[in-house]
Amino acid sequence: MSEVVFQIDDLSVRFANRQALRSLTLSLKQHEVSAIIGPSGCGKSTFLRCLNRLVDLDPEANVSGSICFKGQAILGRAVDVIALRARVGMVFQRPNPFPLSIFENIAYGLRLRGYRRAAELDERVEAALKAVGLWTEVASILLEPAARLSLGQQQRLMFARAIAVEPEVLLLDEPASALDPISTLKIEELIFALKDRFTVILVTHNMQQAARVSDFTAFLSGGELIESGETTRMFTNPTAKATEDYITGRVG
Amino acid sequence: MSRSILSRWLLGFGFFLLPVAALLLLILLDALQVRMPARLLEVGPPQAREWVMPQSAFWRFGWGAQVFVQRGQADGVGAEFRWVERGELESASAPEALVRVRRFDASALFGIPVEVCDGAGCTAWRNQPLTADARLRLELADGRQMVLSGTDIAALDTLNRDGTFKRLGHWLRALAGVVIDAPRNANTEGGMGPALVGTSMLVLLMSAIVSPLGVFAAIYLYMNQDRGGFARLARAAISNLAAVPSVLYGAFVMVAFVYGLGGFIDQTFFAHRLPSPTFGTGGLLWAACAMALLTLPIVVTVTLEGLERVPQGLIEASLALGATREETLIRLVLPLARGAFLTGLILAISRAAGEVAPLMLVGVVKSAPQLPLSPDYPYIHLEQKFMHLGHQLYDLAVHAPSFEAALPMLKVCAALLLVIVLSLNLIAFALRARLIRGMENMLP
Repeated sequence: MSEVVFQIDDLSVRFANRQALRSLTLSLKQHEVSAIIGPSGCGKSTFLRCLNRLVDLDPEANVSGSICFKGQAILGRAVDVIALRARVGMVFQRPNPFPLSIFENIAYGLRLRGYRRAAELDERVEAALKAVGLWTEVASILLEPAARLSLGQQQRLMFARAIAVEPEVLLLDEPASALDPISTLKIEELIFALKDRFTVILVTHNMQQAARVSDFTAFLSGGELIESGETTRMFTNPTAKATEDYITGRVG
Repeated sequence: MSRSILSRWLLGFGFFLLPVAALLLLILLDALQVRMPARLLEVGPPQAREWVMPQSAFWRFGWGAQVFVQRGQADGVGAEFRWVERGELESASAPEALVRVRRFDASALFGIPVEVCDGAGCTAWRNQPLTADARLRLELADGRQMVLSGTDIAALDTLNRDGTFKRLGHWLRALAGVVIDAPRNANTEGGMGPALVGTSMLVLLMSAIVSPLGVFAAIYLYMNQDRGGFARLARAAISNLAAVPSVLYGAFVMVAFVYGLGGFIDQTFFAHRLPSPTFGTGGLLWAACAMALLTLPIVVTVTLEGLERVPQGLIEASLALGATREETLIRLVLPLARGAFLTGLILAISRAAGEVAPLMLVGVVKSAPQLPLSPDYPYIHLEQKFMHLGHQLYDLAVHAPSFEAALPMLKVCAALLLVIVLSLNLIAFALRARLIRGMENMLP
């Protein structure tokens, strides 16, 4: 039985006139790929943004309940969100490289952590690119603008940027939804490979993807947790009717 | 489709670009002809002949029944300029011996040199260089002869004998002089040098004041945009400041800075010079302050726009990597807004270069004996009064002793001002275009 990384209790998020999440209770375990699935607008992205407190950026968001990250409460004013985000990395839906070179995109986070020496930066950038399988493709064009890469390459660069600073958890917000099937496959292989080093929490609306790469699945609908459990059990023998409808494609 | 393009071009070019281009061309052509030497012509009957120079070298291609000419007569003999019938000029002769004598402190003379005398005696004039102690005897159009001292003569131009290239050289040198030299003869002769120096010093100093102020104000507004209250009020105030008539900035700076702050500085640091004021009177520093206040809204608005244009996705990516808001600002947002700040600054500069009204209250003068920039310690004299192109334009147009005499300088002044403002605007345009292209290149 592996250790619990995130223990979420009674989490609710309310925007000005919309309840995004309603009383969510869930625990996510270490070195697993946890998939959060559900129809669009079900609050799964909001849930993910609570885990690294990016939800704070929306001044209208009102978060209640509790989230514990490895035993420490991370909601509330007193929490050092900068330290939290250093331990919980994120990859977004669309690749959002900085308007910098490929190298500088990865070095950005490293410099924030205080890495200054060129040799050290080179080494870590190379390691991150190798970890996402991009090294052979970009080794000769490291100083080119990152935006020149294809969308799929850019997204793998975003993975490299996130893991270069060695977080403990990777939050993936529909990382393959903007990509073609081949790139999607590569991203899925990457997620599978990263599982040993990181705890991965994957938000997706692609059921096949969740079924292929995840160990644990939670199904959200209308801001509420409908059902959660081991992925194989969820996809073969769902208990809730709504889950079965969604998985078999009758809804959403 | 094609019709809409046609109408767009008609609108764009017909109503806006063409008039602007035509005006520009007119002013530039006019200014370029200033001091362009034409042939000296002899008009009038033999008993009342007159030697004149058309004010445009291209008078043959002009229109109108009359042509404006300069009469190179002795001082006090009639007006310096007059109109001559076109037909009369067309049939006029150009005697080869005629020269133009440019004098330091009086208008030019047209005449035929007779002889040059110095300590060693007199010799006939054969275009020899004039020494300082030489005296030149010159025959004027009315038959009288005049003796000129070598120290009074700025130059002697044998315009009717010179070939095209030599005259071209005359003209280019004269143009350069008009731009560089100090003004003479109540600003109607000489050049724009001090006004150019004054204008550029003012603009530089203004940039040095407005840049940090504008950037910090924009950053403040950017970082506090969600917090309502004071920041929102400040934002509204900034936009309203842009609509305040510029002369009010001059009045404000005169009262608050010149009399208030300047008076205080004088009493504290320059008490030994009182009652003659040092900073308690208009000067370069205060004029720069007035211009900085005037252009602050432009810099703040454009910089703020640049900051806000940085995509939210990039900011989130930076924050998600564990950067603080400040680190994100310094490492990501500010570098991306650099181009916008530059654009704002250049717009501010081009506004400041053309603004005159507030300056008249806080330190610009018709004629400044010393440049604000000098080799004497402390090299930059912030308290000094200075000359300014815009003000010189106004002064020449309104206060010159003779409008005709001031006209050439007026044209040059207008053209210089226009060229400065226009090129600054073009730079801003190019920078913005480059910025947008750069962003497109780099952004996902």
